[in-house]
Amino acid sequence: MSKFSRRIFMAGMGSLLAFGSAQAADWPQRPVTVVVPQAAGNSPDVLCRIITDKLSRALGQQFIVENKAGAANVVGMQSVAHATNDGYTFVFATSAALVTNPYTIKALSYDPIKDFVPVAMVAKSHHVLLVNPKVKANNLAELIALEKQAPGSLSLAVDGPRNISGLIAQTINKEAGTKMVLVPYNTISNAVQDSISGRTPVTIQSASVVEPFIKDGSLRPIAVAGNQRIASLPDVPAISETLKSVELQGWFMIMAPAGTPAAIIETMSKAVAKAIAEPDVLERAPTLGFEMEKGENTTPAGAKNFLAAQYAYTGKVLKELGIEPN
Amino acid sequence: MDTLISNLSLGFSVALGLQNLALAFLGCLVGTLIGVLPGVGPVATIAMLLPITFSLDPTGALIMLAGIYYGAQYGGSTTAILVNIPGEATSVVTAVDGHAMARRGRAGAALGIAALGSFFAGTVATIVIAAIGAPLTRVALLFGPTEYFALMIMGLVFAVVLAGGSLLKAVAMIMLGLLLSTVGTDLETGDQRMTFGQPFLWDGIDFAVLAMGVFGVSEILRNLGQSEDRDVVRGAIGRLLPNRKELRQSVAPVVRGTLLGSAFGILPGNGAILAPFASYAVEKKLAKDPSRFGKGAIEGVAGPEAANNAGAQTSFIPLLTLGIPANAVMALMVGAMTIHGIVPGPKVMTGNPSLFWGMIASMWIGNLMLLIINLPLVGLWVRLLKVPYRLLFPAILVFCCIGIYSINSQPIDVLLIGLFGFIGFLLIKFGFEPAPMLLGFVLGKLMEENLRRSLILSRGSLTTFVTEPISAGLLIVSLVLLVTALLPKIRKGRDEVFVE
Repeated sequence: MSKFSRRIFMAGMGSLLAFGSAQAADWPQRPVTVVVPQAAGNSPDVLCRIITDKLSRALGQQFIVENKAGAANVVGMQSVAHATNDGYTFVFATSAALVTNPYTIKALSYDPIKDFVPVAMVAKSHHVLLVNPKVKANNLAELIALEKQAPGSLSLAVDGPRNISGLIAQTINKEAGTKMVLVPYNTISNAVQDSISGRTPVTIQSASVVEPFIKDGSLRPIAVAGNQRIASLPDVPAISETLKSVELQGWFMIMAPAGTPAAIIETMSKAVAKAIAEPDVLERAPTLGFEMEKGENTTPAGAKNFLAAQYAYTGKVLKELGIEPN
Repeated sequence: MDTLISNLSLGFSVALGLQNLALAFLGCLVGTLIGVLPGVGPVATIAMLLPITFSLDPTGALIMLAGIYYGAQYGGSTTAILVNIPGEATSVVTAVDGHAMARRGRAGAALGIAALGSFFAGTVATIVIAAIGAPLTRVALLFGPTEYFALMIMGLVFAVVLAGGSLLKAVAMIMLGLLLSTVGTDLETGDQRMTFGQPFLWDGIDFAVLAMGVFGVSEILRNLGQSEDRDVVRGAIGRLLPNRKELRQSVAPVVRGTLLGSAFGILPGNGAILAPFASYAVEKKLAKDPSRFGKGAIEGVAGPEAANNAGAQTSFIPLLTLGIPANAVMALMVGAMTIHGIVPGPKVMTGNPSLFWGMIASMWIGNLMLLIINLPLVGLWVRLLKVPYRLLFPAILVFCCIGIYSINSQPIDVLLIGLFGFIGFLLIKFGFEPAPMLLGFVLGKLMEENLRRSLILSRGSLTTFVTEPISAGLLIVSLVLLVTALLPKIRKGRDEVFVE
């Protein structure tokens, strides 16, 4: 090795070492990838792009959204679970990926608790129980009473038996003792259309999708999923106001591969919390059907506790419904 | 009428602004280029370009994205004609006779008629949207699972008509397509069907993977199999544009295709994919000499291309008026709208009239631009075919691989096009046509979903398909079509038996 090239070699090693020790403090040095395990254009994807746009500006590096959709989030989650944990890969994880899949999919290729570390809870998604205006029920209790007069007469459009709307529908049936018939739709458009035309008089949909139909009166909201009313529909009661134990809800959390340096997680978490508290994000959230998270859950520790609680709760609900992994 | 004109003039005043004009041009250009690359579809491109639109105003952003969409539709036809690779379900039909024309040295005519037919269809579809878009939404609501199932049955009958050679082989291919479509997660129970525990099969086989394999890759294998007599035109190219006779032959198919496309496009749930197939079946049925079809009949390009473009455009109706996207590209457009804080739906027309009508006007401008971009390019594309095949095919393969990877970012998809390519090669060798299989595959998923939904809704009663008037009507039409399609073949079959 000539003197010159040795010098270059030493300099290179030196800078590598310096880079290593200063990694957390100088993060991010290059573009950061955020994987969305959903298709581009879906509302989680849109929300993620809004947030990463803020992060790019705040942290001075490009945050690139990469859509790895497919197989009920498994493709995207699996890729991040095995990604390098150097702080340059994150995942915009859905509740389905984190707390539903472990109970519905046999031999899941990732472990939501062990393979990932929570960064920040981002938002809860709002699902609404709606009826066709011809249905003579103004609230959930009346709908249950109506159904009990003729059990099995009402059809309920959902997006699939193991998706959030299907699970909510099954828990309602179980808790209320009703026999509404679930009709699965894998395209939202057909589901909404059939509820407007009255073929499936009841449906559970994301608040963002049905907002215009609520406004023009072609669908009537009678309850919102979860245990709290939502700001965009203040007069519509939460499902748990009528059926106490039905609290299932969708949500999103930013996670990193396990072993990502804690200092980077901390920096990222603070940046995310700041981004999701900005006024224009808060203003857009309802049109996407989300309520942005704030306070304790946006910290890594808070997100971890939230995840643990949801993991246990979903497990209990699915077990009661008799859903087995397959 | 007055309001229509005032609305359209508002629209054109928006769309003819310098910035929006430039964005429409950019969108059409990008769309054409990515459409021409096999496999790189509009979905991947729009997803990649979404962040750029952050800084644009919503109208400009949507005009550009819409330009990419129909630019890609058009560019996809170019690939189908030149190298027999349909990028989307809608250009499968174009590949059949378009590529046959290219082999006969009439690639220029096929490309030219596709451009002209698409422009005419686009113009009519724009007027349809502007004039009766809003009331037509009600028609869509008449279609439920039962009606869709009947519609899909009609689609399968088209597939039988579509078949050129042996009827038995065509039916076998349709069945194979139907079977392939059942791979994946069961919608009703969430169980895995024929996925062998492989996550990449959970969502079923991707249409693009199947199409690129059995059409594109198998075509390459076939060409390499025929030592020097390669398929792509090398000799005389002849007139670049369609001649007078070809133009005259195409007028009626284009008009009929436009009508069919406009009608099918209005149906949400991706009714537009049936339009080119329907148009092809109609043209073949009406033709004096149906045997020309499959061997390079210009009607088989003109009609389906017009139907395709009209359908692509009228499928904006459910999006703009109901806010429900008909396909993946439309879903992305909804995403783009919501990023800009616009909630798609009935309110857009009244709440953002300049956006709504600006977009509609830009559709026509986009179609005009596509014509301007594409007619001069025809010469270039045709000259591309003169590149020696030993240089051309590796390039096609590389683009196929990049394209297919860009759709789902799944390396396994790249391997799968190889596998399907080999299967497609064997099928062609044994005289089976892949087009009916693809139609069976596309319709299979929709058929199964809608069949099961209608049976849940009717609580298991099959009579629902004949007691619902629309469904009953569609089934009767299918039956009539099937009988008229089969009778001559059966009779001919008897004659042949007699001769022996």
